[in-house]
Amino acid sequence: MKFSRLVAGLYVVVALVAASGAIPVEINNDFFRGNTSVWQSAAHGAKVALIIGSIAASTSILIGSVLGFISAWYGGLMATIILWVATSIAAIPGILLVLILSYGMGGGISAVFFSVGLVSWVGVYRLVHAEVLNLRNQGHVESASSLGVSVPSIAIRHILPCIKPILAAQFVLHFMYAVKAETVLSFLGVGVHQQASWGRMLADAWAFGDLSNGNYTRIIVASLCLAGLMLTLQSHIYGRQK
Amino acid sequence: MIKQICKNLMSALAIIVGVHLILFIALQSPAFGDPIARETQSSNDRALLASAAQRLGLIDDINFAAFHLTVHADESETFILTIDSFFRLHDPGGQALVEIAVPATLGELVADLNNNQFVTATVGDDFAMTSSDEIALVYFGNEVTLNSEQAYHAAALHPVSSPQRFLNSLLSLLSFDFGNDRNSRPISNTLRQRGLRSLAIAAPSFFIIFIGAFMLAASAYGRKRLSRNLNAAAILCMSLPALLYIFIIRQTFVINLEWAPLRPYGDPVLPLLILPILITVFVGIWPEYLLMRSFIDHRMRKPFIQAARAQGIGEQRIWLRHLLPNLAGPLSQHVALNLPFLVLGSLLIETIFNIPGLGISIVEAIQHHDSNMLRAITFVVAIAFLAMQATATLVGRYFDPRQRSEGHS
Repeated sequence: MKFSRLVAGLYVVVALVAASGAIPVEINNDFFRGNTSVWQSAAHGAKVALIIGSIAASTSILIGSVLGFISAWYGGLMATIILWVATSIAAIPGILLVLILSYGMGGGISAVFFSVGLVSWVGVYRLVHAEVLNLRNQGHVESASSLGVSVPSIAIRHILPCIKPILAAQFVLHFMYAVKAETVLSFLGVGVHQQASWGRMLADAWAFGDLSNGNYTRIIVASLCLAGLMLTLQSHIYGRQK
Repeated sequence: MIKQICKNLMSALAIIVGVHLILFIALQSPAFGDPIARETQSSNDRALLASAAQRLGLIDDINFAAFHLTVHADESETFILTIDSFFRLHDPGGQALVEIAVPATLGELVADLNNNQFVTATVGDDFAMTSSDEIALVYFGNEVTLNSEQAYHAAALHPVSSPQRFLNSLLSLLSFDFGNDRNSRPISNTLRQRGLRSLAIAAPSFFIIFIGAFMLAASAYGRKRLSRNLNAAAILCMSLPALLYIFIIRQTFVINLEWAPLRPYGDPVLPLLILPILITVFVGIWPEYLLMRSFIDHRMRKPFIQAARAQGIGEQRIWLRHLLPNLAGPLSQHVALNLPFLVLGSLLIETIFNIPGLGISIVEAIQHHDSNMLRAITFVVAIAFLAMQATATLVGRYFDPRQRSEGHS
């Protein structure tokens, strides 16, 4: 757990240094060629991965929690409509819908995190809906309700603390999904443009035939950066479960 | 029973409408940007714009030669024509020569134009009664440059309102009329041919993954060391990007060792698909293994298994008579719910191995800005998902008597 926190901290520091402009980056078609700028690109990839992961996961947690709470608390027509939207989204394979939304938004970093956020809230919604249905019949929530506490206050003070561990685990899972989705989207051409990212590094390694030229650095560095982040996050979840 | 079937059909229809609404918002409405600009990559070619507008259902008919215009001037000059609610012709300096509020019919517009000294117009009889909101140049709102004394064809088109467009495209999708792709090829044919190729990779891969993952999970159960090693391998393999495996395996076996041809995939011939299947299995087996592990661990802690053990029943008999029948329901439901997503094949493997399946169709549709193709593939997958969801419910009821009683109640 401590080691995983250390590695996560390292990623954050590298991303902050890259975001501060201390690591120069040159954007052109030959940007990733050769070994010289691989580490610079990897540092900027960490920045992009953390931005995409955190915004996409926050979006999905926010939408899923709010809609899950509303549908479980109020029920009725509102709950039916939310369930209808959620089931319709779930009927489309996640990565296909992310691709379509990202394409619809014209690609780019914001398209990636919004499309992932808009697609992956359904899982959070289902969990929160089930939890709120259970919690609303529990003593502390019923007492607050009968004392006339407002619904937003009940949601924030009495229900949110109970579902926080679930939301934290979901945040990490959606973070991982978003970072992996960025790799696929960037490889397929609707991901990050005009910025260095791990997906772009892999896409460019393929486009410039790195493997045929015997140049493995870019692929290995991008893959290891991604794997390091995934392992760190997984061990974080495992640590919380323990 | 009939009431239940009708209810299920209504929910399926509601989900189909929902899926279509999502696709409509993402691909055909201006919610995420102008769909025509996206489809034509912001081209100014009016014919291209009109064709994209027609393909997206924004206009339902175009007649490129609805009427003919000739501008008369004393000298050779260039004029600019715009049509919105007014028909305006002005010189490049901005001085208006003709400005006519577009009247009720095309015939009246042509008559008004002919009363003006600068423009003469003729119109075909078929279009004389066309109403004014259908009159525009090929793309509504564009400026058009005209040279004097040259005849120009002006087009009539009929814009379609958003609700009407939504309904039209829903009805065409429900009748499995997907229209044509960008190259004017019927999308249904493409889906049929390419779907088979994708299935040729995805179906064997899926069943190998499913059986292999179950065997791994079963063999790891009760063996702490093997279980720990397999869990570590699963987490490590799932952490690395799938692209890395595909790159390295392709480079090693196709490029360096030449064990498989580089572009062999005209038809779904199984021996030629072994490498993509192997990669799919290697990438996909780990999450399935973890899922099977949790299924088995969860069932093994149930009281009926403990009771069987306490009675001294052998491990083999417990697996065959107690565990497997209990696992059959959730496992077959899991298979049924995952089958429709196989139609997609693997986006990455098809792209890298140049396999002309549905996965590569999606990539091509995105690269060539073909919204119709994207819409059709997504819709087919969603329909397959709903069909399989119904099958999963039936399978679950067959294997699990509790679900049968819930269904009756």
